[in-house]
Amino acid sequence: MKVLIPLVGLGGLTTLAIISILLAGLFNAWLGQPLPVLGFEQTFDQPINFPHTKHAAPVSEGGLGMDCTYCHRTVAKASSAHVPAVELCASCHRAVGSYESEDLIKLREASGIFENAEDKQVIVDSEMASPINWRRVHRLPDHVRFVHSAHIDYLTNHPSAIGNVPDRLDLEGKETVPASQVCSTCHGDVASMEKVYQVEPLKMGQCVNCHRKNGGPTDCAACHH
Amino acid sequence: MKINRREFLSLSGKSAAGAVIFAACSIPEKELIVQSPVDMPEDLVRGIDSWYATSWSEGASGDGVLVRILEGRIKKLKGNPDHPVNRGGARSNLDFALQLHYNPDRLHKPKLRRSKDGILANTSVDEMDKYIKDATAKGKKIVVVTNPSRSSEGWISQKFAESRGGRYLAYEALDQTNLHEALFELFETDEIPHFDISHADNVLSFGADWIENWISPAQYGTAYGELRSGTRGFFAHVEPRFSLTSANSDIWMSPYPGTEGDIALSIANVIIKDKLVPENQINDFLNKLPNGKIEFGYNPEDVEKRTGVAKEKIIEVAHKISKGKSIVFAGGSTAAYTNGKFNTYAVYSLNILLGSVGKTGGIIINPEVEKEYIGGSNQSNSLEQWQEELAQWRAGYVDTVIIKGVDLAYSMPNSLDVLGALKNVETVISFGNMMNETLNASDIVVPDTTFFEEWGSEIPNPLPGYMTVSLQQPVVVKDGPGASGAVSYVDTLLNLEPSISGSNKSLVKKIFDNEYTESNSSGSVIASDKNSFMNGVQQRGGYWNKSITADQKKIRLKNTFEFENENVFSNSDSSFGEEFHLIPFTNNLGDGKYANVPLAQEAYEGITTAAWETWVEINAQQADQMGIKEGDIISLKSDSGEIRCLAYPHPAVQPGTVCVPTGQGTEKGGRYSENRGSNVLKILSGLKDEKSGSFAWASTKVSLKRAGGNKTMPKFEGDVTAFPVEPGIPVLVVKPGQTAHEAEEENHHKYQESINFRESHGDGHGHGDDHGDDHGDEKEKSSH
Amino acid sequence: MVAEKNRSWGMVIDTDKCNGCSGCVTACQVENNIPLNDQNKFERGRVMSWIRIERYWEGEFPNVKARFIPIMCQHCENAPCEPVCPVYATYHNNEGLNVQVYNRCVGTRYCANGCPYIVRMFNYWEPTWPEEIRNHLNPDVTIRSRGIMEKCSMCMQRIKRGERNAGDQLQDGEIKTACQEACTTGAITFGDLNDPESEVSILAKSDRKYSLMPQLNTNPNVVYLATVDPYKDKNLGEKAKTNEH
Repeated sequence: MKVLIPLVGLGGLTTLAIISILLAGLFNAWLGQPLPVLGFEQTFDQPINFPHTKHAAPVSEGGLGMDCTYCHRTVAKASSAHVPAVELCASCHRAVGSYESEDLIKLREASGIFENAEDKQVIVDSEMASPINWRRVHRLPDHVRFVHSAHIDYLTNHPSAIGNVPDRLDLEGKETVPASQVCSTCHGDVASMEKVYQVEPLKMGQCVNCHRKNGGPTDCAACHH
Repeated sequence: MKINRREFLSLSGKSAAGAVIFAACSIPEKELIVQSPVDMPEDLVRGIDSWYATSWSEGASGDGVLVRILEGRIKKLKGNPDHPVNRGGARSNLDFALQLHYNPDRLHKPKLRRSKDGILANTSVDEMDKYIKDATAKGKKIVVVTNPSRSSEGWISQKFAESRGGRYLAYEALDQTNLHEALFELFETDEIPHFDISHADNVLSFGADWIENWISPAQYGTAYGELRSGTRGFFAHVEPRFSLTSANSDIWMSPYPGTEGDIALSIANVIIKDKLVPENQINDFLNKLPNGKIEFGYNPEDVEKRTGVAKEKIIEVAHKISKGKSIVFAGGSTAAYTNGKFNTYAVYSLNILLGSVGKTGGIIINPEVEKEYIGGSNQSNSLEQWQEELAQWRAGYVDTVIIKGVDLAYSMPNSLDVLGALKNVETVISFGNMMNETLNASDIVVPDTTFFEEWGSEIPNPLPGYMTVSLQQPVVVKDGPGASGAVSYVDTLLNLEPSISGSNKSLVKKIFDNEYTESNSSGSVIASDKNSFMNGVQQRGGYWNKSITADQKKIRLKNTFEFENENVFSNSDSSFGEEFHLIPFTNNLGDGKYANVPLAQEAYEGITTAAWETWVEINAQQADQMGIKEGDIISLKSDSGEIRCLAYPHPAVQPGTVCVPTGQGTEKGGRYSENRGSNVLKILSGLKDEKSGSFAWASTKVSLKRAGGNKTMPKFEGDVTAFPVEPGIPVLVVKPGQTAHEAEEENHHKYQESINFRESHGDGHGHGDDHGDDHGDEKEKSSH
Repeated sequence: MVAEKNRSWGMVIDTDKCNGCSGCVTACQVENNIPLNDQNKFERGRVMSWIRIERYWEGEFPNVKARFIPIMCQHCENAPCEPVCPVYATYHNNEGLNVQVYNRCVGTRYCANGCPYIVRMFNYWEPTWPEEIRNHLNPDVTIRSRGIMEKCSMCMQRIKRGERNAGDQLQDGEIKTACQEACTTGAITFGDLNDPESEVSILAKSDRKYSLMPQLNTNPNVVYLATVDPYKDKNLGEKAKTNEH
């Protein structure tokens, strides 16, 4: 008997350990997010540092005040927002921006623009162009069919439903707003982010709450098919 | 202690166990990348879809095709509703093109054999170019071989061969020379006419499996739908094999192979004897006969004995087709016996008796195609021509052979010994998307582009009664995702001989510029200048003009018919002493072209529901007598080889005949086609119709015996168990004019009767089986 | 507020026009990312296809007839599969469709047992495609993983896309299912059964209409039209052949 008791205890401990490992796994699956380990406000480095603050923030805040849809061209027309082609970046950055900046050199190389070291002549060789491997920050599970255009369509006509409105914007009493002012509902104020990170959980509860509030479809098949 | 989620996660993340779990549960790295759409994970690429109008000459006989493109990837194909040939219809192999383009075994690099006995090794494009240049230099004797199509590509092939003083040939495994020859003698044009099935009241076809895959199934399928709507058209079919076409006919006649012509003449006999059509049509027909009358034993009673087809069927069909607008046509196996030309001839001549030539709902003669920059051939060279050609190769008279789009080594019968001939050719250059037996026997293997990446223009075959030029345009970039390294066939030839034309694109533009000049503001595209005309063509997928037709009245019959039937082949063609008549047929795999397309392999055949294997269809009763069960491994032996395949006892095959699908059994293909099934084309005797030189591919005799062993037949039938049900479920059959409700009542009544009958006779056991509703019927019959 | 359209999607299949070419099966396979049916699946009787062509034999040689019928999920108004699901993964939505929610499904297969039409397919294996073939997968359709049930959705993704593109002006015939598009003979018609003007509603009133297994009272949204055979119950020259042998 005396020998057995420690054995039982050991077995119990092992079981406990196994159960806790399983529970940890379950927890993780339950909370499974695009960035499970990092948490929300942390994010990763992109291959090229793209400061949204520089591009999208209003001129008053030191940015260029570019419209979101200038680069994310299909966002109001299609299901996905799209990261622009390197050509679009290059169309400005061939001329705009320092030729010393490390990030811009990377960008120009990716679009096939090279500066000759000796005579500072610019060579364009589209054969050398290659896509940039941006990293995804906002990701929905595979079984969700999220359509950007439908949401933007609704929100532009119902500004009261827009969430996370940045302080600088005043949407009070407006009938319609441009597409670039509705993004904050899910993405937060991207214009103020040096590196983009996820601010909302983007889980089904959030989707359904918003749909209920605004009379959106709550049929499962609306998103899951 | 208060711990928020982030802290919890980072804590557990730091522990070793947590690390393991997180590693296992994390999202694949690939899916966290949102790079340019070019390299994006495919299932996440969701954008605006665009549809482009193009056409596919090789696989879809110039039908109009719409292609759905999302982010530079091809997602789906469908028929172009605008196109006059298929009018939105899509043949069942259309989507296979996706997996020709996106195939794991697609070639991405050229291969080179440096010496005749060396091995094929990967090489660079530059080195390949150099070798091709040497092999095709001026002064070399060159032969270019493609599949039959009339297109800009065919024109380039032809011009290139001419520029080197060489020859251009076309090859198709199941040769149709007889069809073209017979048509030429009747209508003075070898263009396949337009069968206006849509407007016809009655259709009678011989041998041609036009519902499944004969010539232009999308066109005929659409027409079939129209035949069956409104006032339901009548349709009879004559074929020894129970094809989909046989299955859909109202009256199916299964003659002994090779006796189809007798049936046609017997029908003519009945029509003339009973005076079912106006006098002048009968005279038209009889005037063409050597003696001015049908005298040689073509009454239905005699024909029944010769062909095995009940005279009642012959008489019924003769009466049916002489009322209203009728079409009679033949093709496929009917034209592929040693008396194939006679058969085809006899069948098409019925149209003269019925007065249906050049009329709506009849046979409409197609205009001749004579266009600048469009070349190639609408038919394969005959077996005779190929025998002569291969003799030249074998004798070493040919320096270079360029092969594109045909697998000669796979699809020619053993007796032609094409591999031996290729060995004696100095350089064999082959273009292909995937390895096949011909590529494997070549010296230079060029990874070819698909039609999705190339400009082109083709004439659909057959035309819809008026002139149509289909446009093929690139819908994805070359070197796109999943398809890198392809070298264009047309560009290669144009680079080698710059005098032919500028770029391929400019050649296609020239074709449509000519169309614009001739169009006179009529037809499918009306534009004010050449460029906007081209835009219109690109939107619609081609240019067609209803006013460019053949003069139907000018069609004269060239010769008097040669009605001496030499139909004796059933016992004299082969001296091998076999018992079974072998009829090969093409299925989803075509002549092996789609064997490495998994979609094609899994698309089960309509009647047998078999897939992934080669099977032999043998009459079920006969199989029973021979003790052959489904899945038994069968050896089929002809005078030129032996193959093994699985037995499929088939309730509807002519006894004494066996049918085997083509396409499997390739020795060199890819992961989906290698070591699978067997190649029936190899064992065909190299017989031909002496009148035309056409390959008599349905005239082979084989001996059949069990080779021992049994395998599970990969078939769909039986996957879903049929419930014991009363007749009419699930396919309810009504008589014309009967409502579904009446038919259901009638079936139910019969069912009750059969139950009562069975109970009173003590036959208590179940009545349902795989064959569904036929049992009730039989029981019902036997009760009377 | 997104207006409720009160639609009832339905299909009419004319078995008289169906010639059994299986074009619909391939088209569905491509449209809906259905995993590859390799030889093993055929041999084991686990072929995955949301729509299938069934072939029935009738009669004996030489008067054999084969009848074809395409069968897919019947989208029953009174579906036997719905009440048996313990996790509410299959339900009837307000557009007349029987919906399968993949992320809810736990793979009990009760629904497949309940379905008299045997149109529910279970994923016994994880679907895999070679990297190249993945290029043509349809991004509008979820790839179903191992262990869950799937079935014909009446091309839900096309309905959603069509509704989105057309807004309020959705015309009859604007949305086409993949099988309908692939059907050369026009045997398949799809549309709103609640709209009396639509083609399906008109066809569904035909004299030849019937539904599969009406005795089960499932009230399917797929209506079939009977095959016409002028030679039903009479075989020409039946005796002649028996003398031959």
